[in-house]
Amino acid sequence: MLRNHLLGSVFTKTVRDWLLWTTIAVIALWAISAMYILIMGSTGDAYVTMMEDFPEALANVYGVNNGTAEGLAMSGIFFIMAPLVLLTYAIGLGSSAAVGEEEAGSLPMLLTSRLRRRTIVLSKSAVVAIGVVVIVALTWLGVSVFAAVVDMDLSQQNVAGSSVQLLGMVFLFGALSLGLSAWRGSSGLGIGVAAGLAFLSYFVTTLLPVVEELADVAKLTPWYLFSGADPLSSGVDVVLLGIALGITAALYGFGLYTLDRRDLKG
Amino acid sequence: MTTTNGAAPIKTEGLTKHYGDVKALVDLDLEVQRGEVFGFLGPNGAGKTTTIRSLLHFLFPTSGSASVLGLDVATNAVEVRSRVAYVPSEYSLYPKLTGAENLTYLANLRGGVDTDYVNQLAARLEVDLTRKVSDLSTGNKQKVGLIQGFMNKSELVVLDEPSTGLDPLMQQELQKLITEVRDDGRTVFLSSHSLAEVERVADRVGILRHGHLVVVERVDALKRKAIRRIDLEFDEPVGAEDFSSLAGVRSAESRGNSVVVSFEGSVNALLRAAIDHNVVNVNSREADLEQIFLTYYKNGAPDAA
Repeated sequence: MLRNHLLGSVFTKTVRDWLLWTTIAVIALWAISAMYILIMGSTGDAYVTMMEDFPEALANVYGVNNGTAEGLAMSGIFFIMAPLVLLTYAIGLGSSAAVGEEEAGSLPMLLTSRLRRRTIVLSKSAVVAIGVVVIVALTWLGVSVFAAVVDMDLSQQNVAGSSVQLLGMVFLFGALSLGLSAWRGSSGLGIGVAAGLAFLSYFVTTLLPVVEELADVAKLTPWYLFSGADPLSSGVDVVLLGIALGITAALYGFGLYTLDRRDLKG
Repeated sequence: MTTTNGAAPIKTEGLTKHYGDVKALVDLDLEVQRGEVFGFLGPNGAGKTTTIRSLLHFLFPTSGSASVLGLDVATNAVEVRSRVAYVPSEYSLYPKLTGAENLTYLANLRGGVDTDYVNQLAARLEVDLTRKVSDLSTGNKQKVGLIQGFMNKSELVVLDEPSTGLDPLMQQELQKLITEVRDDGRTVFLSSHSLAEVERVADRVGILRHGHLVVVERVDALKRKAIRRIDLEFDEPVGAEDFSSLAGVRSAESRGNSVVVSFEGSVNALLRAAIDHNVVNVNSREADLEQIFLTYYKNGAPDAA
């Protein structure tokens, strides 16, 4: 009866539980990538021409990149859709890693083993982080395959750079969701604040630069740590990535610290 | 591992827990002895679950201290929890896993378990562990939780309202399991709002009300002291005054051909007075928790919060 290797630890059980979400995210991004690449590969020039007539603010929101069909495709994938899917994944599961068991009422059961609360959160958040990396890597792989099929010329270096830069921002928002959830024992707080801030920072970063006087304010948002150095054109910006990972570490540490210093809810 | 031989399985000193202005637990001094079944009684909201969660260090006490198996829970929480079996009142299993998979997971986290014993427990509690938890009734979910509580043969078994959802036959089986733990020299801390549930198996009981420990007493002594009620039915109306002045009688009330008498101690005087009339029927009721509370509150026990 007692034979099931995936039920051997919190880490492996979490992999088992969240494999479906990871698979859905990968398939969704593959489908989106295929759609963007196929459409831009065949009718991209028309879209580029159309975008040229867009107001600057609207073009920024769509993430128009370098005025080519390839740039437009990569911008749609890595600037809009991949962040949307990955942030949903990381914010939702980051919060669940912190308080999912607590809110479900199963944490007391788990804690009557040799586990600390922080050990459970560490195991679960490791699965989220690995899941994010796997999704990004498989998206990159999918984009490369689809681009090759339609003979789209991509800069692998810049696609890789965007992927890595994106990881930093996704980790940051995941850690924010985890940290706030762990602090108050509430997934609603973590998810709400992280999702709200992600949404807000996206628009602030894309729209404020239209107004010259406010352009510097846009640099204060987490989204700027991803898009600020235009990784689709310039590759990884190590400084911005380092800042994103530093904030991630601080938020994560805050969550773990507060988790062990408050009453269990429920 | 810290040496804990001879230490009380549970000991609290001045254990207090406030939630803002709400005093959930006030100055709890309690010592549970090794090898006993200790019943922890109180109505809902009395502070029973707060006590248990404080003992397992799921809650940080406002003041006071607690030790379990000789270990201070504040500094040894992980070891304490790993040596205690705990079945919470609202037991949450993983609904997408079967009962067996739930138990496998929890057993693996604790370093393994005797599979034969798990199967024995499942057979005794008549629960099908191959079914998904989401397909199980409340009672069967509770049975899976109980198997989890007993399968590790822990030194201390903490049960919080364990018979919720169990039918009478399964309640009897649960009582047998509890008795077996005691016979094995281990300790059971049984929290309940039902005296009937506790009195059949407990050696001693503590009664909690509004966060205060009202009394700790052996079960038989507690029942002797409790106010009980007896309904005497006669073939014609009888005045309550014939009974109200008898020794031990707290109150007597005439209702048609019946007299309802609340009393404590021996029933002899009451029965002797009753047979001076033509008794048609006698209906004796077990002392319930509220009546026992009344006994202790009339003796000046604190009324807190």
